[in-house]
Amino acid sequence: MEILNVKDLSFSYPDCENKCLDDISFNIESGDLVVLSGIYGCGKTTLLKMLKPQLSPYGKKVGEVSFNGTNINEIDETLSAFEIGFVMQNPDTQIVSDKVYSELAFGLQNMGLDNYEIQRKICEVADFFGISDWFYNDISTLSGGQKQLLNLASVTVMNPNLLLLDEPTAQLDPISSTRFFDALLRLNSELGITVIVAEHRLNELWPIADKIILMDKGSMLLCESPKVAAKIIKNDFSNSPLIKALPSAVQIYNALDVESECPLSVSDARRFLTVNFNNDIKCLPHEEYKTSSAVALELCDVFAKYEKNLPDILNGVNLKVFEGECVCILGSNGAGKSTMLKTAAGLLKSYAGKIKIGGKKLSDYKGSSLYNYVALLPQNPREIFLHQTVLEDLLQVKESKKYNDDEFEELKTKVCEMLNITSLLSMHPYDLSGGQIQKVALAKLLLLQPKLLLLDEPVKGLDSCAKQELSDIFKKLKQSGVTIVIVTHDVEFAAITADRCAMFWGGKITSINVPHKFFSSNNFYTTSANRLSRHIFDNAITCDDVIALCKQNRGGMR
Amino acid sequence: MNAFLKLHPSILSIYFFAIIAVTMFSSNPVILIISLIASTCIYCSLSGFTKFFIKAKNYAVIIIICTFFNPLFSKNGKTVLYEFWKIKITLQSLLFGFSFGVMLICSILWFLCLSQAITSDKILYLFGKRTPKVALTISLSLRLIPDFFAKFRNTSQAQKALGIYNKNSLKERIKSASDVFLSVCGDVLESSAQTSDSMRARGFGINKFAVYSNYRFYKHDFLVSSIIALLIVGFVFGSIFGELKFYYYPTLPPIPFSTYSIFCYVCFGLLAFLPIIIKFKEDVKWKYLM
Repeated sequence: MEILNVKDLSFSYPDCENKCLDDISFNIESGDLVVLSGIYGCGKTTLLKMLKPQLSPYGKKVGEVSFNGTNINEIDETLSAFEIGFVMQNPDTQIVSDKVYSELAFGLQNMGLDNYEIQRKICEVADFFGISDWFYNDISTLSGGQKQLLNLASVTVMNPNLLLLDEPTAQLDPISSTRFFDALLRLNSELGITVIVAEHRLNELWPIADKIILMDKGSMLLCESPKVAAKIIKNDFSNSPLIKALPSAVQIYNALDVESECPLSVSDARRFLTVNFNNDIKCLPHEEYKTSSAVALELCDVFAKYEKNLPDILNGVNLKVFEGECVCILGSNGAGKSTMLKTAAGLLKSYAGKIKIGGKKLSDYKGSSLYNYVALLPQNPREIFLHQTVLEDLLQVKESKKYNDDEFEELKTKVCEMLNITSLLSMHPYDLSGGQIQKVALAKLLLLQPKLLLLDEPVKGLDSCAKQELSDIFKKLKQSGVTIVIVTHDVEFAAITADRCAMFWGGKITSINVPHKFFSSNNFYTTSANRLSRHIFDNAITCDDVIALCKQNRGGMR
Repeated sequence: MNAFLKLHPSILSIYFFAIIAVTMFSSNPVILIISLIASTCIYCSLSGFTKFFIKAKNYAVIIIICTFFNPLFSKNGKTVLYEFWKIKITLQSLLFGFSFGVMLICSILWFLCLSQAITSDKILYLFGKRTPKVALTISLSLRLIPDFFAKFRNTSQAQKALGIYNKNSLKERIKSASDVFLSVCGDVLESSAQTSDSMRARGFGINKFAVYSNYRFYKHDFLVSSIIALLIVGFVFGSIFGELKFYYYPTLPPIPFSTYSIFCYVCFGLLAFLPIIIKFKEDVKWKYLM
């Protein structure tokens, strides 16, 4: 049965020449799991909002959307509010109440149900999502993953037929997002709820989706099953930046000229590799990694905590970062990675141990002289900006650093060109996309001309194109002599960016090594390319590694 | 104390209202002593002895200050103990100051117990029964305010790590704080817009906003509330007929001990110790069950 039908839908915002959505048509069967993908600015969010009348933006609309056979603008408001659920990207801002149970009850209160009915429904849904343990908790005590699960639960409690999700896991770490998708899948498979999820992390969803919709610049490229979609992408869009957004298995398949069905999951991909390639050449040559002798950042047995009676967050951290290298620190959420950066930047005092920056003790830096050497990018880059436009914020640096006009102009041009942000200078920082605001925040830091950059989750919530761009920028910065320490939980990003990777666990660094050794010695905390090529090739950690090895082994193709 | 805390919020609020009103408006020493002992016991069983002993020092200081400051302002009383310049220190005014101090401590302890017994969600429930939208507004602000402070703290830290503002001069410090404040206001406004989107998406405003509460009026709630009502009525009745009033000036009268006033003391004592009695009953019942 068809639940949703979109026919020739075009949309443009007022005062905007370009069409945000251009002639989009597709239909969705009841019970489907649909993944909507595309790089930033392709119109995913606008399309999802057009499917929910309460959130539809104001503008010029052509075409028709029908839900269960009726035009969506003509159906009863009660029906469209409660039958179509919508989960947004930011876990915090969608929550209305201060307690978990009252948040769950909110939608039902709007439906005007009686107390008994509300009680029954929220208990049931709390049980389904496994949130009974924190049912009576304050919202402020929840983690990001729990908040997003609560958002899903408080939409599901109204018993919708169609769920729309706009990048629901962009702000979550990999483990929380896997948990979120598990819950979503159960809703789809056990309750038969139709799900449309906009997402750019496709590794998990691609193999299980019923349909893939790819969008680019407002128009729909395809709407097919995953296997067919992979084939079409290989044939028609092989040069598109979308390629990098695909799951590792599909990327590897696309780069190799093999006539077989496209593998989707890790186990499929392993079979694909063993059937089609031999492994005479097992690993790529790697140069011995040499660090410079000068130490940019040194932490020696550092202990820190937020309050006297609270447990230690840093529990004897030892870390040496040498000048001119890029170190990625990986670890799960709440492990204390951000706390370590704050301690290194002097925002949190360590109560034991020694911190040296540029060979000088932290306590020897007087006033704000430390920040001539170090710059910290916080997890939320918005916190960097205080003014109405990006340019005003950059001028703030000029004043405090007392650059003269020529000096500042030269520096600004250099930084803006390197980061490719010249066109963004007149915009309000809050209007920028995730990738853009990271770049602009980085620009503000670079104007301070720091020697050591501490970056807290710079690729959180970014699509693969933006990640690739940032990775290239970090490489350029490294060449100009800047030392970079990145805290992240994105293993794929660390694999292509870092000179060395470190694992942070239990308040300390447990292992540190060059990426190919680091990831191939991990069994679980590793890239998907490494997982699918494990035991076939050695030390292959990126898709490019696997592709290169496959090509070298082509001679002996079975 | 669990059984007491689990009583219906409206019973709890009536209970504390009655106890605190009687404590605050009565100068009768017997009532005050009962109130002091009961509030101390209840506070200790809610928060533990150690917490009480840490605070006990401060309470003693408050009582001493009240006792010795009252004669400076009040020249009433017949029994003059000491006199210098134009200040008469009388036994009666010392005792009145002392009883005022005790009354103050009793009220503080009762209010501390109240804040533990009636939590924010119970307050919300009490308000929300009549006007669900007021409850929703309170609930929204309960989240908004801590959120605002957290954002303010993070943003000022981020700015500090940029080293842009010179923290040495007061002018710079004020400027940086006001810049951060304005920027955080903008941020909070924007996230509120998203919250309102999320409310609209879940059908807010389509129907009448219904009441939802976790609290039900159980049979034993009915029992306890009738006991409380009887005790309050008994106390009021007794205090009308009996002589409960106690004046410290000009001379101390004998403490009222008529039949009616004893009846009042018993009613108030039972009321004040009700949480302890409920706890004792539960403990015994549990032991018996095991």
